[in-house]
Amino acid sequence: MSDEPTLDPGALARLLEITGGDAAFVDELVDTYLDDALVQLADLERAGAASDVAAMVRPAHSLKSNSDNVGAVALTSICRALENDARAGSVPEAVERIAAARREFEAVRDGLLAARAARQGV
Amino acid sequence: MGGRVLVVDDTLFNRRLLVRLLGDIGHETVEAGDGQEALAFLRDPANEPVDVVLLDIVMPVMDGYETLATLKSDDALRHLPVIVISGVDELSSVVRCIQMGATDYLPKTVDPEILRARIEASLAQKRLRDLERETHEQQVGLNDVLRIMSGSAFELGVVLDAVAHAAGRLCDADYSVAYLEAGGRFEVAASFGGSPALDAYERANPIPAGRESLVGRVALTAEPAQIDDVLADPDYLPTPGQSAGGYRTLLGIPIRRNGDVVGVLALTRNEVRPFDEAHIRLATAFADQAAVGIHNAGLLATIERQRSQLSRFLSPQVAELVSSTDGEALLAGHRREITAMFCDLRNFTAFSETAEPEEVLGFLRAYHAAMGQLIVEHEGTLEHFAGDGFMTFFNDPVLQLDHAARATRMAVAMRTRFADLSADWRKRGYVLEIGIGIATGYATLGRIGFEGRYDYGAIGNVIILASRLSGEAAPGEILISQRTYAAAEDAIDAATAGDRTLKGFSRPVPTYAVTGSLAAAVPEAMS
Repeated sequence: MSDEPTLDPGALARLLEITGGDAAFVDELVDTYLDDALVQLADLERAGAASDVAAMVRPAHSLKSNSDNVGAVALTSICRALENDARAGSVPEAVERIAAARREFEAVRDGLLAARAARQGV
Repeated sequence: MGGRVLVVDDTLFNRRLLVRLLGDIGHETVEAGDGQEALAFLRDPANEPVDVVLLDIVMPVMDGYETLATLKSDDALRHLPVIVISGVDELSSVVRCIQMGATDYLPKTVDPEILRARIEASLAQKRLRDLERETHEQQVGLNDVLRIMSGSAFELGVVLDAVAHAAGRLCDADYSVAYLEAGGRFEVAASFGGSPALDAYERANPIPAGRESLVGRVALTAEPAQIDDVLADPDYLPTPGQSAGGYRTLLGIPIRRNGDVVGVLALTRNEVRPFDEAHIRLATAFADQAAVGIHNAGLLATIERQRSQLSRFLSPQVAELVSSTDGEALLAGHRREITAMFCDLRNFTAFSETAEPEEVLGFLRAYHAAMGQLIVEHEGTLEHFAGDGFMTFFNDPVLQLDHAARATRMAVAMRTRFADLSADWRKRGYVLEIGIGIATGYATLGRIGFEGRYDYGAIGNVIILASRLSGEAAPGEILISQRTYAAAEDAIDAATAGDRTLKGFSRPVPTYAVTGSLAAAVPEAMS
């Protein structure tokens, strides 16, 4: 999975396109994603620490689909695997994988904010 | 045409994106963060109803499956289209949702074109269902009016209220009025909706026929008329009612009776939005019901008139009896010897078929007046008066020792009076003859009929015999029974008229024909 890109720039371009080029709205959407993601990661970490597999399903699922929409390719994959395993009832190395998800999220956030700064700089 | 979409998703990100995209393609949106919130919203009568639900599957508190199952088991929400939002890797959950009654699904990676198409399809489906329900409601509305009519067929006000109410509601009008013609103008008889100022104006200002008003136009043409926009119509003359009510589109349907416009059902809308074919058809159905109501009310008026005329024939003694406390026992039923007299006319059926109705009525009026006067003079009790025939009896409720002689004397007086009456008619070519039958015997007397329509009546063989004798009587003949003859022998002149075989009597019945009465004086009644 490590060969997957952190961000697919096409996803943001697509969000811009389907909202009629409303960059301010896309910025808001990205902020919403970042806020939501922090909550979902915290939920995942709590479930991981408690080894509560069932409680991992929903945050993994939500983070997966939101990440997909902003083009966070690698994070989407990590979350999808977590969700699938959680549904199956067993998540090996849960704590480590959730930590990886957080690291990947931080990269995603940096990338998204950098892209915004680059756009606004132009 | 935009719809109203409820977006149910726990992530703000998805909701914001969907709300934005739906707004861009002209839909209104409301949001819920989970199934429970969505159900609470949908069930709250204070909220405007939604057309489609976009439902996420994985949610806290109440997930999509449970929400869907609850919606589908709720009679009020079952028909609401539900589109589930699902990731491409969750097709098995989509299948499950479709099996549970979801209409469609939407991929989580939102594509505006797919979103548009799926929402449109669901809206179209919902509109079709709404249309079906509307048709059903219209049927129910019409049935309501029909039921009201069968329950109070003669109360025109009730019927017209029901018509105005149902037509206004089901034809989506802001104000609906049933006008009735009176003295060449159309007056408000019932109305529904509309501002108090408009309604007051309409009620105070009857409308004459003419092209400057909708009602006037319908009165003029006797055809349905619609004015799409009163402010753009060259002939329409805006009234203070129009300014007060602010209506723009008008529909008028004639209420016809025997081809005449006797009223107009008018519907108004406070915006320029002409009534479509379906609404016009519906309004016409209601106008037709109003016409039936008017017809029934006319019948009632006729019956009431006839009854009030009848009451003039009722002897004052009976009228007094009915209202006295002693009378209650008599009304409850008792047995007594009476003399009953039946009288009807020969050739009356032929006469009423060939003469003009006005002539028939004119004749009946004169006949009733003359016979009625004699009944009052002889203190007879008139039981019923039907067209050309009537039945009178004596010795009840007021006791009359000479009841047989009285009845016979009255019959003779009637024959004489009738001869004068019919002479006029004979000149016009109508030969009418009277036939009278009289019998004496025991009968059961008292209140007969049913609540709301009681008569003071007599039941017994004597009544049947009098009726048969009247049928047997030749033109101008008064046939009396043996018992009447025996009781009145001293007071009358009569000759045997042979034994007659009468329907309902096993043996031939001896009869007598009266030639005249001896004593002119009427003995005093015993009270």
